[in-house]
Amino acid sequence: MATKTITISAENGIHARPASEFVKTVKTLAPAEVTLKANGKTVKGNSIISILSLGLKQGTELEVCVNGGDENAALETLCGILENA
Amino acid sequence: MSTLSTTHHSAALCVGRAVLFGKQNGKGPELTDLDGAMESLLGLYRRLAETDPIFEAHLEIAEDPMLRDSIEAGMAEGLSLRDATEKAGTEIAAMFDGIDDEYLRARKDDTQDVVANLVRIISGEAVGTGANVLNGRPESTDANRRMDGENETGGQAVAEACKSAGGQSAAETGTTNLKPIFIAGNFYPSDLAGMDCDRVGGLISEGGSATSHVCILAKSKGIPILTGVKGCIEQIHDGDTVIIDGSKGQVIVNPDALTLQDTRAHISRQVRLSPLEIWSGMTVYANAGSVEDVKNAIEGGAMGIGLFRSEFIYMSDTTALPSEDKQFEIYKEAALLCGDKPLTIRTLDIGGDKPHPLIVDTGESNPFLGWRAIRICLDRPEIFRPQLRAILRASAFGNVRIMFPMICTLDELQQAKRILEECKQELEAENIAFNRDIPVGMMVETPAAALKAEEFASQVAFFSIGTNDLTQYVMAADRGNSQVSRLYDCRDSAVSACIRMVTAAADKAGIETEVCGEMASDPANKQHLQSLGIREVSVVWA
Repeated sequence: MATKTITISAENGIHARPASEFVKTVKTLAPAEVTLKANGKTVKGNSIISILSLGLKQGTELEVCVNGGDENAALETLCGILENA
Repeated sequence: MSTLSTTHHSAALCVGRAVLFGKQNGKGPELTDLDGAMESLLGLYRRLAETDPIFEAHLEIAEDPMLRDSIEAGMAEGLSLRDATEKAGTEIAAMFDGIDDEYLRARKDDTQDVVANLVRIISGEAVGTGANVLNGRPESTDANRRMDGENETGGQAVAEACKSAGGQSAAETGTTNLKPIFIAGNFYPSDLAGMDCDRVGGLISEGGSATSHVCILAKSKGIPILTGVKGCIEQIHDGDTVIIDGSKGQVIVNPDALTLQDTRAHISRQVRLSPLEIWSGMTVYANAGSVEDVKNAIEGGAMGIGLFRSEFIYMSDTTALPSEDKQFEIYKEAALLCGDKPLTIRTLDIGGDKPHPLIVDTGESNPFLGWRAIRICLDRPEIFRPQLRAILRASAFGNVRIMFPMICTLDELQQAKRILEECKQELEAENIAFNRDIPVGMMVETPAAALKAEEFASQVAFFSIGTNDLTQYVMAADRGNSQVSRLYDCRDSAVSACIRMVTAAADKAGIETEVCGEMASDPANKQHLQSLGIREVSVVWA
């Protein structure tokens, strides 16, 4: 299992478009499981509804966790999407 | 004649013929099969996403396993498919309640867009773009199949339906060719796909807020909308003549001849004024963020471009900085479009609220007071020089002016001018044409620049006041923070004092001062700005 904590820098936070891109990428990583932790909630990375409901605004600390597959590479890719959103 | 009221207000004023949205031509049978309903839902958003990438996220929401799980859980409790779907929608909406960011909280609307369409599909109602809803055909029928393959577009289908909406009983009321006004419980962004103001007269909804995404979308399409109209679904019938008067928050159903005549007269007086008319008596330049903007503004009669934001060239590709040649081609095209009229190119203004991944380290705790605009350019001449050379080269093709942003000290201005001079010498040595006398101006957007306007006035060819930043720096109020928005007032006397200092210094030196911030986008500020000595504005051209 690989985890990394990042801080959301996107001005508008993680809104529909980056969340959609993130979920699309998560799906390509199956069967690896991705989870996100923020604001005291933990959600599955394949659910855009759950991710949007985290309210990831600018400055939010977010823990990304990948379980299975090439964990480190997957983690980098996923964090990259959120950090460059 | 009857009148319905809402506490919401809008700029809408229009007459049309009522069409109950999604209810035309009856309903099909209610579905009980989740797989089939889901298939239709995905088909709908796949088509929408093909025409507008904004619906990619809706498609993703429709595919979200959580939505399906939630509906299946409701069905396991004995609910019907329809009830379970509505319950899932309510549960999902509740997940967004705790979010303290208004914009992100509003993503709830995207989820409700998807759930609402799923409920419509299950209920056997027509769904889809404005086009196939107008045709009253449920998903996966003729209208949609036609849209899939052949060359009929949603828009044409809307047009056909609109023609028929205007036909009936028109002779009785003297209301021929009325556009349809759609009536619904709620409108969602996907409903507006395929609608435009040429074909749709207006929208009335029982629910919804005046600030929702769908209102913004409708306004951007020029479609009048009024929300929160209680009872509109029961009391308005297909074919009724309807007036929307958003300024009064009223819908008038089947108006009498006199009311109709008054409204018509009122509408015809509501002619849209061009910026030239609004700012008559002043020099009216346009703000531009692209060559396309320049073209529109110049064709629309702008007296020049007062602010050409060069950032977009940098922001359009975040993997590489634009080369000198690439920039030159863009500036040259803009300069040729302007001809003799001035094209004022502002050098790179990034940082602050516009970070660039290759240049700006976003780790700053206070980016608006940090490394931005000219500060970056002076520290990174390898970024600045290609831009200056590109602007200089373009100056051979038109009336190009150059403008430096975020100047605080005389030293910054002199450094920038020194680098510009070095670029001129390089170009001369390379035998490349440019205008040696290119006018050099500066933005006044910091209190420091305003307070020292007299010192600066002798060093530049013009001032341009960026009222957005000036207001936020003078009032120490972040313009993006709604909690301090009462302080962010461009008409505060402290901001006015700064503007007056700049115009006074400019008058003394015989140079012009333009205002290019949002303050100049509101015609209500015209007299105020003129009283402060402003004779030039640069505005968004619309």
